[in-house]
Amino acid sequence: MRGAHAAVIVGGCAVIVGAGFAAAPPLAGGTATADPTASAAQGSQTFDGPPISNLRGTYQAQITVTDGAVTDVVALQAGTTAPESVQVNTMAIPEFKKRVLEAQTWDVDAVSGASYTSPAFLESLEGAFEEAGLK
Amino acid sequence: MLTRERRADALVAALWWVGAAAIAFFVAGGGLTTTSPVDYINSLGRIAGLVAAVLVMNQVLLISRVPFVERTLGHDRAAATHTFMGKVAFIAMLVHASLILIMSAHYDGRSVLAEIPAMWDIGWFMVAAQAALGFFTLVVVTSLLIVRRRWKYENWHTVHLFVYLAIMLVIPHQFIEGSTFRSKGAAWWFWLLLYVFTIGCWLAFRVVRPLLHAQRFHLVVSSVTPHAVGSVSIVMTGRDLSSLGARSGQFMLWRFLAAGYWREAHPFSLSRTPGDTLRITVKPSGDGSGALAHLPVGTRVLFEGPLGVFTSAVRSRPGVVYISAGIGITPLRALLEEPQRGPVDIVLRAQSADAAPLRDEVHELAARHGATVHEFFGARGQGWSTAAEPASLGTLIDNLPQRDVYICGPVNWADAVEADALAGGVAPEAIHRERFGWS
Repeated sequence: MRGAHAAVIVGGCAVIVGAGFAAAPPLAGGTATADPTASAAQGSQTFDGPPISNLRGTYQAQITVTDGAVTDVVALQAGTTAPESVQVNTMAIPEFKKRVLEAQTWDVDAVSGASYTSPAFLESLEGAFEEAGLK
Repeated sequence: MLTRERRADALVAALWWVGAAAIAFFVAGGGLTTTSPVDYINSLGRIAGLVAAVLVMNQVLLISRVPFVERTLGHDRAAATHTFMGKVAFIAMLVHASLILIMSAHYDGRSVLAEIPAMWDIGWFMVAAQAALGFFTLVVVTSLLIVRRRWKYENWHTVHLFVYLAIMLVIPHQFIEGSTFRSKGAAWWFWLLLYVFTIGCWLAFRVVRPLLHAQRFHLVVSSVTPHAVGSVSIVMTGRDLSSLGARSGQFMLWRFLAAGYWREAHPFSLSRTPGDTLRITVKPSGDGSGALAHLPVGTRVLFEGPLGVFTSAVRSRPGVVYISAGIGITPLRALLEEPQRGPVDIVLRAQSADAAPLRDEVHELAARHGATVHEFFGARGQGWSTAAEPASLGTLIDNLPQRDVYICGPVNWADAVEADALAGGVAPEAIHRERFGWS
């Protein structure tokens, strides 16, 4: 009776956690940093921001400028290899790219849930814009 | 229709499954995203933290006096489950704190010792979380010491109040620092609902309801009657008490609002069937109950409850045996006032005839029901009976397997009675015990 009760508890837990695994993204880790050589298109120039470090690692932005317009934003460095860092930056960097390409400025809103990435990456972005003469 | 036992098992299982759900949300949200195998240690540390958080919330729910827990589990099993989950939660907290500390030190290239103050830079909430771990440790260690050394209930109660402080300190780091809580997806709702529901139940049934009831029922001490050998009966009156829904066999947590008493709430069973008045009968034990003989008439009373499932609603057999030791007679005395069906036997155990509180009332009620009273007075023996007169329920009671057995008395004594009843052929679901413990 007690054994059966324990078995029901453990079995139920296994099923629930199993469902979590089924819904999980592929476990092979995505990385937040991009290959800088691949992003530079023909006839465009890349500009690197300064590396900015804080408690959660080092962040460095690179922008690609084509005919005076920013056409790509990547992170040369973003955070550390800690899983939480990877998780946060995998989410945050594409969001910054989207915002910067839309607004064509480094001065975009911080990404919520990325309290350390946001100020450091934006500071590095500002440097990259300055480098490109867009500020 | 499930039996109460089945529903109780289902509720306990569900509480553990909430912990599993926390792990599932973590995994589904990419919590196991790793770049090297060593990262799995970090993930394990985070999972331990999530499990600890759920179990602590379960503990709060179990002692929130929310009716579905009280009715399904009963106060005693709720308290036992609360204690067990507390032990698991504390181990999980230690695993969480040490693994996260070790892995953060690893990622940041610091020593483990240097990482402790380094975490303070993350924010005030990490300082709070570390302080909370200290408080939880304090509470667990002192609780173990108090139980081992049989310190007073009052000490145990005071120490437990620190848990609420620890919970308040530990919650911010879960929502601000814990990345599981950051995404506004299903996981975020899961955690928000868990916290709002649990803390809401606690506030509603531990704070708001007692205050509303105090207002509505206006319970006041109307008489304090000392008995022989120190026990004392306290009668309380109020407005419209019959609508309180209390039953014979239940207990309530009482807080007497008089100087020297108001700080602590104590669990005492009703010692007669609740009607326009409520009566409790108390034997001196801790500080609180010892001084109750001097409680002023007219004292206002705050209460929680009625609590417990030690009532005639759980009867499942044609006959019944009521067996009590010492002051444990009180809920049985109240049950005897109700109409009885089938054969009734009453077994009283006490140090002496004088030390059996309410004995005259029990005899009077027994005569009314044509019940047999078996009395065992004297020094403790091997089993539940006296040294001079060892007894077993199987030989004492006719047709024992066709009886419900209601047991109320000290835990070790009640364990001995339960073992004897089981050996005599009583089904486990026909054994009813009231263990109003410390919670």
